[in-house]
Amino acid sequence: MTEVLLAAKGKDGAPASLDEYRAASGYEALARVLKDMKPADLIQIAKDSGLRGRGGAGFPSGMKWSFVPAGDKADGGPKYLVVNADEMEPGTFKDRVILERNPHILIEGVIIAAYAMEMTDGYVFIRREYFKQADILERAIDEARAAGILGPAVMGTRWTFDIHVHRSGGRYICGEETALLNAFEGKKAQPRSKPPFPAARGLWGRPTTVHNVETLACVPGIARHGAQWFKGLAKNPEGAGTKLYGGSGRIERPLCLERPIGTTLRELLDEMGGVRGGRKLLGVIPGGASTPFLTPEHLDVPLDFEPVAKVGSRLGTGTFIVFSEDDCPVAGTLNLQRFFARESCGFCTPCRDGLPFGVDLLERIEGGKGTMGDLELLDDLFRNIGPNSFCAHAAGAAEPVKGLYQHFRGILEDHVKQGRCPFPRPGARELETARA
Amino acid sequence: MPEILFDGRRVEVEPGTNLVEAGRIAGVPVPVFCYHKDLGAVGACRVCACTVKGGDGKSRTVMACMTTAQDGMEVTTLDKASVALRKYVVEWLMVNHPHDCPICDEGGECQLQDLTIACGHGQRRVSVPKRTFDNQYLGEFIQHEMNRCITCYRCSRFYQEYAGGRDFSATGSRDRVYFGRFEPGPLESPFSGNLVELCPTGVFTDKLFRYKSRVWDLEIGHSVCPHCSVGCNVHPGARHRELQRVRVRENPAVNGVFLCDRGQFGHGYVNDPRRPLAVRSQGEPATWEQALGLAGAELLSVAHQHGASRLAFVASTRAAVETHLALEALAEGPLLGARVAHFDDPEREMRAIAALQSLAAAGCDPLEQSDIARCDVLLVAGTSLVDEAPLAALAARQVARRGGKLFVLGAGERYLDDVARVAAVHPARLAQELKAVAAAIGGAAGGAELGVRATGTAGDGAAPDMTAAIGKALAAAKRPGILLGSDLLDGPALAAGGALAQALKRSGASPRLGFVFPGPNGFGAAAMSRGTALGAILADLEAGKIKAAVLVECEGGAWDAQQLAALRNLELLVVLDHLPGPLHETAGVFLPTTATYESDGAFVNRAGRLQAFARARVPGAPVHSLFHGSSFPRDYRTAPPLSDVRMAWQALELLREAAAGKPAARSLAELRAASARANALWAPLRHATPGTEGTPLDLGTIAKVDVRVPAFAGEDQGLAAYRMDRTLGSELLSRRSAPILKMAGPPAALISPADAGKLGMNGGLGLSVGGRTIEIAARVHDLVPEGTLLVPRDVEWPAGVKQGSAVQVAARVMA
Repeated sequence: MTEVLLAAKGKDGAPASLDEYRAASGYEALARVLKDMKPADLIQIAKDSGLRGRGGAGFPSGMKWSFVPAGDKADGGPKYLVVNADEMEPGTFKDRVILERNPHILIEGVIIAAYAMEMTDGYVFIRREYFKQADILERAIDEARAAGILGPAVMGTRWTFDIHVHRSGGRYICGEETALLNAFEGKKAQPRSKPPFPAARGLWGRPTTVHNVETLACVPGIARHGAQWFKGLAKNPEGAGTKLYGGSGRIERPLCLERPIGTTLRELLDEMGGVRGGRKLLGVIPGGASTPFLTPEHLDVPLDFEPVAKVGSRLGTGTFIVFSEDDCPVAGTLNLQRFFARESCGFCTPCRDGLPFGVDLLERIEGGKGTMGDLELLDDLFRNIGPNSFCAHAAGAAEPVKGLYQHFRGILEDHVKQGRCPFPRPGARELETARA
Repeated sequence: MPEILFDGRRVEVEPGTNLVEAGRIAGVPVPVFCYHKDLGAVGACRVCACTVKGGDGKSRTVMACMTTAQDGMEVTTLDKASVALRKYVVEWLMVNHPHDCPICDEGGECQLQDLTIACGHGQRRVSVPKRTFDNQYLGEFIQHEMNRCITCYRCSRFYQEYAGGRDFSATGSRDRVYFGRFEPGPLESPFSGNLVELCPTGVFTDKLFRYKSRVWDLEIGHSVCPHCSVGCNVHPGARHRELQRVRVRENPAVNGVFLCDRGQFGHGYVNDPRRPLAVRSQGEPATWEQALGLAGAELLSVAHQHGASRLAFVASTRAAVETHLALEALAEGPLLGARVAHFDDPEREMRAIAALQSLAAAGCDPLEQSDIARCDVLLVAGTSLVDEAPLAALAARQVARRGGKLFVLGAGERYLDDVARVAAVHPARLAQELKAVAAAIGGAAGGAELGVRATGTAGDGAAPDMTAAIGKALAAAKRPGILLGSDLLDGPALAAGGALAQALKRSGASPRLGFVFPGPNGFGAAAMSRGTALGAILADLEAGKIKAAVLVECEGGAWDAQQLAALRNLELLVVLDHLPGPLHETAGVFLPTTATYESDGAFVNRAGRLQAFARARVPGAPVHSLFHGSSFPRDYRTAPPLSDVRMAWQALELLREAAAGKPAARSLAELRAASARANALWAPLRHATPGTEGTPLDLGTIAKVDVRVPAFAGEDQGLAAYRMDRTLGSELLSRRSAPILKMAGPPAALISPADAGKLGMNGGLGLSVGGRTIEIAARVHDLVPEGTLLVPRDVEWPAGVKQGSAVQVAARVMA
């Protein structure tokens, strides 16, 4: 297939330089936008393209752009486009690939999106551990500045726009857009209550849009080739664009691949060599820790937002973790719950104190000390934690548990009935992490 | 007005009301931890969960504190889902809570206890080890016990957001969020004591009260704090004749739900072992009858022999209204003509009376404590509020937080400078600045036209554009407020403050005007004064023209050596007080009186609000001080020893009866009724009831009094010394408390950077003033006007030196 997001290639695996990006038609979209298009036009194209956020939530991007006060609804003050490069969702490693291979596509996407929303400044909030990727991005930004693509006169126009990279101090909750804004402002990394939404009051109280890296990387293509083109890239009728899919876990060849959105799990597993060791598939977590299990019956579901939601899960980031017949889903869920409990920001009670409660129950069940009453309690516990927390973190934590009960109820009961985890333990040590 | 159904009760509420408040209006107590009406709603604890059925017929669980009542809403707190969730919230909090009620001071007044019982939690279903923390030393007032924390964030929200403190906050994440200081050490905010009340569990407790009593064992009174003129309401708590703690009492018209550290922790003077509790007559222990008999006869004798005008009766601003009234009553009948003064400090007397006159003449509504935060534009002038009236400073900060404009023209501002526009103004120039603001209100082009010297530096005055800005802002404000000091104002400034309010009124606005007064009853004392009597009394005392004196709750600090010596030569000196000191030792007759928390009476706060208080305890020595060992003394008496202490107004009534014969000593009600009959100003006394919001006095009934307060010597006088209170350490009563002194640290004078530079100052100064040399530590402070030295009042100062006098200063090296 024709790559879009990873079209530009650097020499010997290095990031594509400005020249290499231009050689792959880079920044032509931006030139066209600045010359021929009005912000309102761009927003309409984005809406028509069907582009949805690739950070996990899948919110329609064009609609998001239209929430920002623009034109005579704006008050003339600063407006910010913030790139969420805080890629910390378990199993997710796609945004780093864009940064490592083709950073300029992000830059161009940011500038075009900022133009559409009449933004004044762009910021990239990048995960602490992405030292290398932050350096790469900053070098690319320097290249763009030197070429007059960023700065006081973007490509010779009267528009001033620049992008600054901010390295996070750490912790997963910074990926939540309002916690990100708080962390950016130097405050405690805790989410804010919504409303007000960032489009109305975001960074430093100003209208702000927060976007995932991959989402913005789609923007130059849409601006250059149009909404229909973008829709046409998809494999399934309701999809739009390409997607960076990734596979990890019990997979023969863990890869990050750009494929048309709507590609199925079966096709991707094939490309990545199938379940490791030729073992049978138990299931996958399709797009991050808060997406419920998909099982072998879902192998032919197009991996796009709607189709996956229809079968009770979520596409999320589209980078999946593979479980084989040797892997206990209860142990897997326990692993994820330890992560969620550890990464709680500590603001609200259900998440802060309820998630460790859940970890405790899962440890008991996985360790063979659980009772049938514990199974009821675990279910009831997460039904009360999920919808009643301050932000989506704990709601996300409830999802794998929901999936566990939905698809693997029998396995849960086997733990109780047998007084032990019924799975062989060859890889179990890998799944255990110390209680932090 | 939205109308909602709350647990079946129909209520109408103001638009914008959240469901917790709506529940309160409906009579349903919605449980809360993190919600606090003054700190706002944050939605952290999730315990206020309830179910709401909206217009679409759909029910959903919401947090009551985060949900605004909409017309037609149906709210229920008793449905299964909400009840189950609240039960879970308590269970989740109990995952890590140490359950150390048996050793926790909060027991009995703990919101977590109450709600845990209410939600029926009793069984631990989780087996994780509880997370624990190390505690920090946070100073002498607050005890830290982090294991009990339920992470409601009230403490950090109050400390940082509401009170502006910077050394304490929430750190960390997950179930290890920690509320503490950046490093162990005394909390810097003078409002840290509010953490005790705000914390719903026992993380922050009163260190002075630690392990002393359970709340249900305490005798608790409805009283008024005696440490400044704000008049915060308090609940003193006593047990076994020992005052053990002071807690805030809510009064929406005054302090709301907050208190300052001076008021909360400054009560050590009540149990001071040096406190005189025994009647003394002519150097020997005596009974009340003996002492009163002697004193009464002597007073009568002096009046007959030399005339009543040779008698001097003096009370101070820490005496209750009734004490002042009883003192006036003493100067009637056969003692008619005796000289009465209601202040023991002549500088403060004239300023307080002038302030009251200025306030009364301005004809505006008084700026009550509860009005301060509601102002959209507030001008603070001639005072460092955090030092003179701390809760007024806390309220002023809220003006800025709510988006209003806050201006400070004064010396030594150190609390509001991060949220206000501040100019350091030399007290000798304040009158000019206030006049410039008044001129700007009238639309004049600005201060320059009035000949105000425009220097533009913070050092010695406000730039003209600032006075113009203040005038413009006040004129355009919907709720303008002006709050002036008194200690640091001269006559022209006191008058200019009132004139400024009048100018605002004429421009069509409705300004509120207030002053800071000395002591808890400075306003009341000023209202009773018919002139600056104290100055004349002291002069006559020195000249030997006074033969006998009755001094009630006076402190001789403002009286010079000759005046104090003259006291010793009186035919009779009667002293009534509860503080030890030179006057108590000099007295021919000493009558021990009660402290505020042991008294029934009333104060008038700085806004003219009359507040009655009732005693928390019967006075006397604490029981445990009477014996050594573990059992009570086997001593059969009709009353415990050292308990024959009377309220000051009672003692004066008895003295009046002893001297005049009749009418007999009156009860509190009789005394109040008689005063109300005699003077319309005191009409509210008739119905003054402790534990209520109090009653504003009618400013229109304040008699016009002629008082002249000289202007401060001009700015070009070298270094002028101004005595000023400091939050902790200078106030007379609280500075007898060891923890207060430790937290206050030694006093330091404040000096401007320019003056410090000229002197080559390096931490200390030697002052020559009033014929004495005083060594004092000194600190540079940006907002001290050039040419001034701000000296804390607890620095021993030669009496008779006027406020703003020039002093000779040399640098000293302090060890």
